[in-house]
Amino acid sequence: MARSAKELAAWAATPWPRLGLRSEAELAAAVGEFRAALGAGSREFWLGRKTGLLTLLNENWLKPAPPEWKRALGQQLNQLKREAEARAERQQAAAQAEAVAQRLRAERVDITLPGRSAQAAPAHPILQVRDEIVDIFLRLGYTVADGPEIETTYYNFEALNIPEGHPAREEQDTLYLGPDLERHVLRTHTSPVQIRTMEKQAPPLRVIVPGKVYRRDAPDATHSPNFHQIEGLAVDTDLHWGDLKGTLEHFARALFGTTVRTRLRPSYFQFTEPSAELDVSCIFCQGRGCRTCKHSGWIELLGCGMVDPAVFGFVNYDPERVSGFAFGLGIDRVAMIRYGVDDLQRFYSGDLRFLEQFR
Amino acid sequence: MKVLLSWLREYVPITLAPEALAARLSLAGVAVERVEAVGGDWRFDLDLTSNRPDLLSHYGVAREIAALTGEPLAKLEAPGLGAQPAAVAVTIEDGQACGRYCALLLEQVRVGDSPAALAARLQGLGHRAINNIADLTNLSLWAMGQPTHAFDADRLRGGEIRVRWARPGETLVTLDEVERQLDPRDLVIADRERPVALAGVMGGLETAIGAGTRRVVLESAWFDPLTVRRTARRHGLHTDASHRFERGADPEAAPLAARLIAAGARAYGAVVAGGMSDQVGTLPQPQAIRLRPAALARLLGRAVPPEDCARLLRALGCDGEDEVWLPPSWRPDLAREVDLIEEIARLYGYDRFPSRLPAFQGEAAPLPEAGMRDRVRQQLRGRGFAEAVTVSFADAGECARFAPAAAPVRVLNPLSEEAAILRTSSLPAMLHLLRHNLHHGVAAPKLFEIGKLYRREGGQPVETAVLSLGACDPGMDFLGLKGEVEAVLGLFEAPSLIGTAAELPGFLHPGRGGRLGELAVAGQLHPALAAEWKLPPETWLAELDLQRLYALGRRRVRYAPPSRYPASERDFSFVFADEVSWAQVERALGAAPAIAHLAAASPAEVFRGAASGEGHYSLLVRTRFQSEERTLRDEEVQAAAAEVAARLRALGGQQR
Repeated sequence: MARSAKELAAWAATPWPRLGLRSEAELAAAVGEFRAALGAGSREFWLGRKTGLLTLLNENWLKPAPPEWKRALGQQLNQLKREAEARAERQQAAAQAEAVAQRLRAERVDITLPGRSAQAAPAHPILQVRDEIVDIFLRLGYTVADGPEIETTYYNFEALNIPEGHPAREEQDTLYLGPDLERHVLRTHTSPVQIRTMEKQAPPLRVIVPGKVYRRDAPDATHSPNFHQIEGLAVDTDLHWGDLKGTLEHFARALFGTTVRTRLRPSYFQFTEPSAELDVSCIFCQGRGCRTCKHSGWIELLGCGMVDPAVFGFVNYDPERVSGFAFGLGIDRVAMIRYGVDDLQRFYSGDLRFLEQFR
Repeated sequence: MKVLLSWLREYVPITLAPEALAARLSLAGVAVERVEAVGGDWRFDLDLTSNRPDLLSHYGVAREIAALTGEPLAKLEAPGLGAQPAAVAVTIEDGQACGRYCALLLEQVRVGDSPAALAARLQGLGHRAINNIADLTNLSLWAMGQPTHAFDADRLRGGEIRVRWARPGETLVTLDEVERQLDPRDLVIADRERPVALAGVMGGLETAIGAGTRRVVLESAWFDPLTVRRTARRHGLHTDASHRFERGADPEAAPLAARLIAAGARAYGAVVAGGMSDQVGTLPQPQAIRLRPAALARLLGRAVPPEDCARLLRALGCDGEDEVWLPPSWRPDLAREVDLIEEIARLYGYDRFPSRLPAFQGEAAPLPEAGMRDRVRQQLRGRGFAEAVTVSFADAGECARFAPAAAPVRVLNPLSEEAAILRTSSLPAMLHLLRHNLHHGVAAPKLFEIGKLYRREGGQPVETAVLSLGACDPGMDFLGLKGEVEAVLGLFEAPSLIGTAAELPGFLHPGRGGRLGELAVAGQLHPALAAEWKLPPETWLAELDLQRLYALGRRRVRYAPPSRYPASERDFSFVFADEVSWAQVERALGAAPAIAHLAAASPAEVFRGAASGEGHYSLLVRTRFQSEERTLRDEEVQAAAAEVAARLRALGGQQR
């Protein structure tokens, strides 16, 4: 049966003797009524510096009290004040919390809408693969080299042990150049840089050569008149077949993952002997057989071999003192395998609907 | 080349299943492309390398299988012909070009169909049966790889064979019914009067055997690979015969092939008249090869037991023991020690040599310009330009519009007219890419490419690295493009993009382009060209010479401590005549004597409109004054600001 705020305010503004209170007990009971009403009214109403009920009670009730009552009454009023303060603090905290909650509710967004960002455009997929392969070999101690795309027939053929009239020369569908550029071709492979490097540098050496190469192939899903190769060459005093194997096995695992298996199949290149093709277990079916690997379980990755002594002869290396290995692979082909691209032409289309996928 | 399993089995026992045999052959370097069942038999499609002419026959493949499996190889034999005088007179003009010529005369020949079994065999290989004599020559080709030819003896004038160089003006109608002008570098088979065959390539039509043929001169020869190759190329011919002679036929096989065919013809009732002519010129002679076990171990990384080496080499037909081996006549590719090492390695098994990742003590360096190149790529991609790669070929007319001064490198055998030169400008390719994207609904394509340009200079080819930028973006304007180009230039010790209309190339909008010497050119595509290319007017292009840019080197960072004292900003609102450019304003404010404490001046706002008056524009110049030593007093800033205003007025500006 709490009294109304108005009633209490009127009480507190009146010295107690005028309210007809007689005894200390009656006074205490009256203060108790205030306590019962603590839930109502603002902080200002109770604790305001000039007109707050507690200020008024001090003024109108405590001050006029006989000295022997003051101690107990003072304590009672202090208690009341502490409770009013605590209550006011709680109320304020709740009000603040509610205000924050309201604001947070109002600020809610639909987080399922697509994100907005100024994304960097992607690097070209072929160049991504190129950079990745170059990095693998840089870590193995290979220095990057390059050479001209317009190459002399000497570097493109003769010095690689492909003499005029050799069938291997015609198999490459060379693009010839002019006018007055006889003996120049568009390089059909990155291998000429092997010769250029060895001419300039004494062994030991390790180079990796990425670059554009050219063949007279009409563009279709698997052919392009220009494509990208990467060539590797290592020459030292004690390199052997096992080093070739070990290096390329490491490379295949670095490129396709540690579970990939490899095998070397004998092949023929004029500038290496023994020569081989490196196959990797199909990355799509793990070697069980699928369309990509033509149900063989294997994908042909690169050509390689020990440097042919005849090639060393062209650069004045002594094949009795040094040995080495070389390898070359088509970057476009690796990109096609890696990303499942079905048409080589897409790489050269500049089509953003294609390129944007390679972020 | 295709081979039939049943035929291989005539020469070597085969217990492996067809697929297993295919795998085994492939792993030994005889690549089997396909295995298919044909009429109760199995056909293997082989993809052979050009160094192995010996594999271009069933017997050759059987020999390889025998070497791989250790099974015995049957001997290829034919009955002898007895020592009678040769029936066909043969003369060889050049013993280098024709190393051997065997000829036989067959009489009482009755040309008809081959027996069904032989015809079926040819069909199994995908060939057509022709007649019993022609089929015999073909069967011997597929059996042992030796090309032969049958002439109608009654059509050979003088009944003799002359192997000689063609004479100027001579012609020959070959079996494919094409009349060919012969070149003096063509080796021909001739009778007493005229050429009757292109040696090693194709026979003549007039002396071909037919239904009425009764007497046949059978040729089995060895021709020089290069001679055959050049003649075949000259006449655009590629035949089973030329394919084998070009790669190197077996010089010892010629008489055997002739005897095998003679035996076959006898079975059809023909008679061999007299003996065989066997003229020998200069033949390649197999040379003994020294095989050092130490050299083998050094190249392969481990030794192979000598008994294994000997077994494998003998199975291939090599003769010898220990360290000295004589290769067989059918292996022109075996001439050096390393050739024998390769044979041993591949037959022994490439997988039996242990792998090792070799250590290296040298240094590893990227390309000198790779860091700069990749920084440019990163910059442009970060700005939303996608990286493109295009082909190096271009249309001569298109390039001439963009690089009229460059002498192009031409492709002598181009795939098309649109790809007849190597590009002298990167911009036509960029325009093609932009147009492709617009046609496919890409709203605002932005692309760049780092590639090469090619030209001739003093008879030498020159390649330079180039960067091209392209955008079809209504949101782009010249200053936007300039900013993108300057951001790239800013990576290097390069000045910014400044140019006057007089120096601009004709393909750019004359009022919206700029250039920086030979280093860079950028701007809006000329509206006339845009219309011609069916591109929108908002087509923006830039081309930078990366060679020159790289030569400037990456921008060096020079640290300057930020001032500890506050700066004061002052804005000046002026109206200028259109002729007054920002560059002039900048120069005036920067001219000596320097305006005290002026740290920066920038065009905060440029406004053109009626309010500025006809031929005029409003410019808000924002200046900043700052000292490194102290906080400036208000009077100091006032004085400097007055000087700024005075200089702007001196340019004809009116302060507002």
